[in-house]
Amino acid sequence: MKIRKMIRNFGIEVLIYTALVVAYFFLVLEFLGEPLQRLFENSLVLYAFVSLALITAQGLVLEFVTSFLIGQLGLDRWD
Amino acid sequence: MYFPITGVTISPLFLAGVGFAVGLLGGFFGVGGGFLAGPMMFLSGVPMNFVVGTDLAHMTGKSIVAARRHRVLGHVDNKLGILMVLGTVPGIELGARIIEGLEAAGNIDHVVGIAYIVILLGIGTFTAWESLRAIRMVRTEQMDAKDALAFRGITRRVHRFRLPPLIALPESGIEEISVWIVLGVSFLTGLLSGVLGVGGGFIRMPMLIYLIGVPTHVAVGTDLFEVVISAGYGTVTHALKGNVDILMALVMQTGAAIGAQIGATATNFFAGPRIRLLFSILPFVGAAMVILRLVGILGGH
Repeated sequence: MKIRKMIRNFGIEVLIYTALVVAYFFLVLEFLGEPLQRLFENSLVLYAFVSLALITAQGLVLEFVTSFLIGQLGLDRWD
Repeated sequence: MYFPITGVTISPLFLAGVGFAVGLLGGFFGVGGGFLAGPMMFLSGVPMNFVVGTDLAHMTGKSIVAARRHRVLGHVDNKLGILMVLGTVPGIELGARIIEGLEAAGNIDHVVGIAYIVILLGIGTFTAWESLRAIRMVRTEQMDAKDALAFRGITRRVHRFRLPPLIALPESGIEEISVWIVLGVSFLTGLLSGVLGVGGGFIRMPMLIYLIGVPTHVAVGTDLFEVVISAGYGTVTHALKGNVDILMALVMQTGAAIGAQIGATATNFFAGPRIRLLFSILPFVGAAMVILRLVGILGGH
């Protein structure tokens, strides 16, 4: 029973995560393409740190938002 | 989709799919996954100079997601992770300088490639042998399967070296160990990563288990913690040289983030010896990739 509950919760979490990731995916394509290219051509130093910030933020924000949504939905995460 | 920084057109779904596969492996085994993502990116037309830097960038984001998940599961030893970073970074730098010096003296791609293959095959064979033995021991001696290890000889010998300062690593179940052992092991793995031009998860994960004596689940989580730092550092240095397409890395990371979550969670359903047995396949795949690169199918450095 415990395993079934874990799998169900995890399935819901992955679904939410997938939706968030797809939304972010289109956001990246729509808004970040041109500014990033300009930054790459004009200042590699700034580009390097913006790159690190973006990839770090993507990981942190998506993970945080998923956890928050799971909490709001009242779903226990692993038990 | 057209990626203006690299100037190539690639399906974003393909990139997200590669990211998913690499994320799954990374979350489960604690490796960066460059051995798989790099060749796939190269085969899809990404210029070689962008392959390594972009792969490191997406590895950073993916490892953050996986490491956070492992932390929730209690699989990350923060103290060990930070100490390992202190040894790894100088090791990578020294390794990179050694390779630069050797490259200036002549083409050493084949020598490095063959050394890498030998190391990978050695790690794969040893890990497979040990984990199969541990699984047998669990069956016959009714041992606790979670952390069963069939080869503790090296760990005991390493722990006999007691040069101060000594530290406790309670999250890894280690009562006392010399700081110099942790720094030495991490420096060695960093050096090998720098010389071989790889992330180092292949080498670091078994060393954490067999030399330092860290339980398999904690080794996976702690290794990911270290990948975040070392890959982040690599992202900045490569981006400064203009070798990172961050747009591509962000797209790859969309798939990798999901894969990493699934992979990290899946470790909860496997005992240590079984994770190590599955892990032992990876070095063989890595060795095959290097062979394909050496014969020219997957491009050169």
